[in-house]
Amino acid sequence: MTLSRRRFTTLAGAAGLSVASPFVRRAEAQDLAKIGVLLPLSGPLASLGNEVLRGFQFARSLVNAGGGVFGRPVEFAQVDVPGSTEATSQAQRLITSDRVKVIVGSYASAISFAASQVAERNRVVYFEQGAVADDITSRGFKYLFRFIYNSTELGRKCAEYATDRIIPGVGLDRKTAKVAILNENSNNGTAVGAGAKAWLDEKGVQVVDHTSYDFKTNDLSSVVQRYKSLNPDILIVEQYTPDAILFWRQAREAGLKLKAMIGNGGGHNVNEFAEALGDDVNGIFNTGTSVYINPKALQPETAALFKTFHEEYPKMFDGRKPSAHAGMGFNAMYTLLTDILPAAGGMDTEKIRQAALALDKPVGSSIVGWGLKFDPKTQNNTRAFPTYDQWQGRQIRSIGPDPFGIAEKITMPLPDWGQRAGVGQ
Amino acid sequence: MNPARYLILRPADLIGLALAVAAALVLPFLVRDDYSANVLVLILLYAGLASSWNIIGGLAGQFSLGHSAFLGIGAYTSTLLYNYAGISPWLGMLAGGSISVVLALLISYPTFRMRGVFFAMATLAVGETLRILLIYSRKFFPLPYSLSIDYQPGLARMIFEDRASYALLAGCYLLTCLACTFVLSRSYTGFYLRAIRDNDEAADAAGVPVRRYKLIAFLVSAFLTALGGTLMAQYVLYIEPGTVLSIELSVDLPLMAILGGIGTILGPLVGAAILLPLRETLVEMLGGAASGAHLVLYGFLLILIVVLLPNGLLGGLDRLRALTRSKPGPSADAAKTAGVQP
Amino acid sequence: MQAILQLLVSGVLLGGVYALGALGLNLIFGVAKVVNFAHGEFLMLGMFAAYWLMTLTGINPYLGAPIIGAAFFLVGLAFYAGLMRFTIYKPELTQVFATLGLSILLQNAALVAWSADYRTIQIMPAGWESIQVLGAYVPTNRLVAFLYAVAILLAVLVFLRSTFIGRAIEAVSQDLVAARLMGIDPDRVFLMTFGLGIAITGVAGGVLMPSFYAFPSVGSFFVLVAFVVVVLGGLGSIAGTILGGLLLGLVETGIGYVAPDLKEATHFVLLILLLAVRPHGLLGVKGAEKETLK
Repeated sequence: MTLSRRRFTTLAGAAGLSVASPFVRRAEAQDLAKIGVLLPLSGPLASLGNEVLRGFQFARSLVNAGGGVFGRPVEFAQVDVPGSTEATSQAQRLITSDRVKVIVGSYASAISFAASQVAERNRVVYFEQGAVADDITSRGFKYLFRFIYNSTELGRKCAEYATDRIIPGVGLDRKTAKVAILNENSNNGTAVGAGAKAWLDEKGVQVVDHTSYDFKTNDLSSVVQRYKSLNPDILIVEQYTPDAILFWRQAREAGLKLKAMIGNGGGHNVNEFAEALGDDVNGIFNTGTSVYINPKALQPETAALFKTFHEEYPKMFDGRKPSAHAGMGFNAMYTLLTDILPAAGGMDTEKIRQAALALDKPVGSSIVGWGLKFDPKTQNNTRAFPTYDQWQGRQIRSIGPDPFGIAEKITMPLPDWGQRAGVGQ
Repeated sequence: MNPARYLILRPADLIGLALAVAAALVLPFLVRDDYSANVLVLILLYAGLASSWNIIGGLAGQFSLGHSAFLGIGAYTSTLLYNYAGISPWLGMLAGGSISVVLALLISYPTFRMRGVFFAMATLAVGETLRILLIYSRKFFPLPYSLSIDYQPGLARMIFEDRASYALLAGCYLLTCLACTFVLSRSYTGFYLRAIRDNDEAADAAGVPVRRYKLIAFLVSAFLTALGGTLMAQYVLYIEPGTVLSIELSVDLPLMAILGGIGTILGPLVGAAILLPLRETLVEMLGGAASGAHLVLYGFLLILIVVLLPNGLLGGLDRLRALTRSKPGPSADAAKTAGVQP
Repeated sequence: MQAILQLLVSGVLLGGVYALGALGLNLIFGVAKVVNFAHGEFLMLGMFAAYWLMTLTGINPYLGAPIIGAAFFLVGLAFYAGLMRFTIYKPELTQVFATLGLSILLQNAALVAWSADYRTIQIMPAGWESIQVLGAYVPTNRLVAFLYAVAILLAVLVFLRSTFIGRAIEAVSQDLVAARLMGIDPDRVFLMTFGLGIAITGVAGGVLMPSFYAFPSVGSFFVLVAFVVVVLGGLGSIAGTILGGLLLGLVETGIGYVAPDLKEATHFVLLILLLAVRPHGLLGVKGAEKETLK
């Protein structure tokens, strides 16, 4: 097939245009209320990335309904970062092309790590809402703030709940109980698993197995079989959505018997998990963040916000019920727009930093139950903590720590397959 | 040494040289804003990487889909040596290159028997296996999941404060890769490689030492790719298996070479210069519309370009020249039959 | 001992899953020598087809497979006529990147259309997710998928041996030039091959859906394995695909029991080993690895 001259010219023109375009300076007035948003919106992490985005969008709509920030409606400059490879470029684009002074991101640890590095070098404030890898905040960065706890903390708290509440609750004692840990092998999963193991080792609890796998796997039946041979009493897992569904389905097919299973966020606090497994999700514990907590434990203002969140969110998003990820996204964006930015009085990054560091909100001041106080050195939120849930009636309901629980009854040990309809009653 | 005795030189080469030097050594000083500087660094770096791929994939015609293995080795070697032993990345780069060469040598034994898609699959398998093994190795070695390099500017540390310096560094890397490509392509080795590319059984029958020359191309390619890996690590200051050992990278390099003109010398540069800004533009245009909308268009454009310009942009230029030229004289015919291509 | 029996059962069923996912690819790859990197996306579309079929009409994909197959046959014809026809005689790179572009396009079109949510359907009644056979449990969904894999294998074999167009396809896959000389129009053969290959892939996706989940990127979970299975089994051999799938499933399950972290590495290590020792795959024709279609 020969190439006609006309066709070639069109293609060359398109090529030339595409080469030139990023170099064409975007003539834009500096927008006072423009916030950079950096999330995985396509690719394998898209599902939860979009959840977080919905949380951001809901916060924006609430704030704009109340007049916006600095008298203007809040706007997002949004970039899609499917993986950490794109993180550097896209963060750079937000900063140089869109000229944002504040970025909120990023759901996944690898993305957060790479993007926050760019922000730090350019002295742009970066608020991390939900990525938990420890080393994100161990680089001594001054412009990075994290709302959520880190993964080691998550793993430890999970193991703590296991040793302090679940082991006695299922009628075992620490010396004889057998615990196994299973996590997907990304940065996140590995850190959570390691955190849990560290705690268990400290308490002298027997860890009969600690394995990891790639979350894109098509089969976990061999791992299930491994557990049938090793016979752990309690299983601590950290899984994304597809592998969580796969594993639990295959555990059901094999008739795997466990006294308790504890998830750590990821796939274990999303609706799709319940849709796929039906009543068999009931009884599973989860450590992480939840928006289905007891509003009575919240500060009065926050309790009202909580009510608004749960009522209005489904209306904005076609009846969809919010998940913890949407809640965390909402929390970070809402705090930024209503507490930090007004206190800073403008988009000066130094003032924003100071305003963030000056925040001091007690536990119960956010819809997920946390308080807010950024540690002056690591700039982690010292008042974020994981809550505990149990799946009951195909809903994830919080059971602790007190007073955040809403479930009246906790069922353990885990009933047999097909017999979990009555969990929590 | 008179290069004209060993290399085929053409008047058009001067234009190519000027273009390459301009891109690599002059542009870095002209670009002002940070965002464009970032794009430039990435274009130059990826162009160098794509050129390295081009040596085995374009010149020798062995379509490797596992080059991320070499990139990853380069990145990890220099970073580990720097973080744990304080060795300068300039040296670490060479260490990484050497290890890559050894890997290339090892995998040449099973993979050189295969052609086309099979070779591609086998090299893909190598890349993926390396990535999985790296993740698995953490059970035995106290290696963190991702490695980050502390930001401390310094020439000896290959870390720079301003992007122009990175662009210059990437530019030098690109020129090195282009030079290697040029020398390999225009020397006798080039004849052998093209013969192997077009029909290796016939080449073998004609007495070309097929295995030896494939190996030369493969080893050079592996070495250069590893150097680029170190550069990438030093620029992003953060590496993890998912970024430097990913399939996406293994696919991007041939893609750029193809877009620009596989087997041509400047093709990879053209390809990188088009692909990277194209992606950025698409994200800008459509990124907000609906998640993934910009990628729908990207996929569509990819198909269009690859089908309409199977020889890439430079290949298309050649065809254009051939179409519009008046009837060629006998010397041009002889050159064509000898299989000499730019 | 019981564990070993169970691992065997699980491994064989996993092999069935892999083989099913690779059958359509093998046909296209083996006959037209086309590398279809969008294969995973056709599987994904098959899964979504099953989801929408079940959700909108209540017909479950095990029964509705013929509907899906017919629809995807047309899709395959369009795929060839609209795109692949232009890449058949071009260098392999063109095919690789054209199909790669298509893969990106389809994946993200699905994302735009159906969002990134994970869709699942439940077919087996409660309590029937697996059945006990001789002390081992057999997951019913995967069993059905396995049966489908065998059924499709037999159907294709019969088709290729007994019908005229089938034999024409075989001829083209063995020697394009000779087939042409015999008066076979390769264009018609390729058209048919793509129609069939994509139909099989669509059905595979639909039948696998109950064991998995439909979401835009799910193709990426299967595409590499499918290629490994095809190459492992041997180019041009449908039976080889089944064998390759079984081998892969068994090895992966075995390793997965002992060292789950290395589970996915088995695909690639096995591929490299086999290609080093027997480049034409288990049941492939010797020298097939040197085949190109120019």
